[in-house]
Amino acid sequence: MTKFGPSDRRLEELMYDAAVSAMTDAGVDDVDGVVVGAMSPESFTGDSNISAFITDYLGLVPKPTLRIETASSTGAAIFDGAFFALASGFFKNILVLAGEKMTTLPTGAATKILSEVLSPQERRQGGTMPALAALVARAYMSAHGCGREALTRVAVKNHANAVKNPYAHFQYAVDAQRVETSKMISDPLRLYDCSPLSDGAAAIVMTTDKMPIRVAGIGHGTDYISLAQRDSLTSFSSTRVATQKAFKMAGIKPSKIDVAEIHDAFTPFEIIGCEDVGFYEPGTAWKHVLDGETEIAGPLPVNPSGGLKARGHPVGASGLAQIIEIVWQLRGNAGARQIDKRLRYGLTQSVGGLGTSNIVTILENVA
Amino acid sequence: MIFPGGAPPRLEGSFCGKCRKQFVPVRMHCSKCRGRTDLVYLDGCGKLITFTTLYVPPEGFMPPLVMGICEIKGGLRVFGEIHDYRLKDSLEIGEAVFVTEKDGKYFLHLERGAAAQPATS
Ligand SMILES: [Zn+2]
Repeated sequence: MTKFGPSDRRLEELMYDAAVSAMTDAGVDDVDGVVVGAMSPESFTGDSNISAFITDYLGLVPKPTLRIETASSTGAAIFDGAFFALASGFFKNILVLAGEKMTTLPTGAATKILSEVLSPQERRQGGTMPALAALVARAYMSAHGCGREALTRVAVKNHANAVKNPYAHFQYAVDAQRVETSKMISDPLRLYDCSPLSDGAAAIVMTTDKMPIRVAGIGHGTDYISLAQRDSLTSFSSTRVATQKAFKMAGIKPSKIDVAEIHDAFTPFEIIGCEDVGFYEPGTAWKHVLDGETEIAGPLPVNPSGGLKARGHPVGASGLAQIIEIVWQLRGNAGARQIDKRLRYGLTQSVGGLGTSNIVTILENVA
Repeated sequence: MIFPGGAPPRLEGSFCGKCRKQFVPVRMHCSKCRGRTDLVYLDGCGKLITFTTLYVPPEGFMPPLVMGICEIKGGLRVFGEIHDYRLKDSLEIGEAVFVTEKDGKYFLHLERGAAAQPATS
């Protein structure tokens, strides 16, 4: 993958860089197909027909290519799609490649593009991702007695992890005071509760050959596009559905997971995500966060990469970047942020839109 | 509940007779069974279940933009703008609100205070 954050490189150049590093890592010169992920290149950079464009740019014509898009879980969705394509037996290896170039536009314009994933009524009334996330945050905090300090702890932890990640957008630490005095974006969410607009690309070569890291389980669930019409405002049903499928395929329980990357586009989403994937009982994850259990040195490290919060959030690429971090952690080559124990299972959870298309992936170290 | 403006506000919505499910805004087909829905008028009175004040709105909107979700009778939830942004610092989860609709936009009015003047249609 590329370093995340504002970049002078064009989208196709970022995706080229990520693809070359993945193919080099895999030791392959050629692939049977390319699955491309990008959420809104049409709006951000004016590029459409992106999969053919990228396949040409990579020198992989005439290989088949297609694009998958599920809003902010796009990076996980291409992995999901390629997995089932490989499982069909018609392909031996596939390059999965995701990228987004977001910093070319002013923040207001980018915010508007991101809000286009919401229901027509909610966005017609000025609803944005942070605003709807704030509605979820307040409902969760009020229902479960979760205070501001748990959100702060997620931001402080993820920034501290990203200091050791050379691919991260923000490689600096923040303290509680800095988080809690940062600009109010949508009450109760402040600037440091929100992931940034980033540029970046990520890529993996997936193969049917036996490898040290295998896909143990994948699950994907959806929910109603309107936030108001969900059954719950304090949990994402789409994650719960995805979790059930992924663990069923893997044949294990959540207690077997050694490390996780959870979609912390907003700090409360990491807390809710940890409950939805079965790590903690509903309404209790914030206490475990405050106890330090999810820190790199804790019993269940969450977002050792820095998460979307601090690694950055090139919206279509984040889901794949999460999977790459788990691969590195399981292999033991995550550098200064490596979790210092034997890791067998790692999990990623990616949220598409405001929880409308969520994907859970479980990887196993079989080396 | 006393409405200075007269009868409780009626909210246009859809209803699936098979699933007993209500929808606001109106939709032609049920989100559960794909069946055709009927037009219904719902009682727009309910309670606020969450809210936020957005200080960084998208292009075309002025901050602060105060929004919330309320739950009306029958359990249906509606997303809307709090009609008076000056109330942003005194909102409370659970407080009584009623919903009105104008040009496809929904407004949540607080019951308390003299400002509680529902639009009747
Ligand atoms: Zn129905």
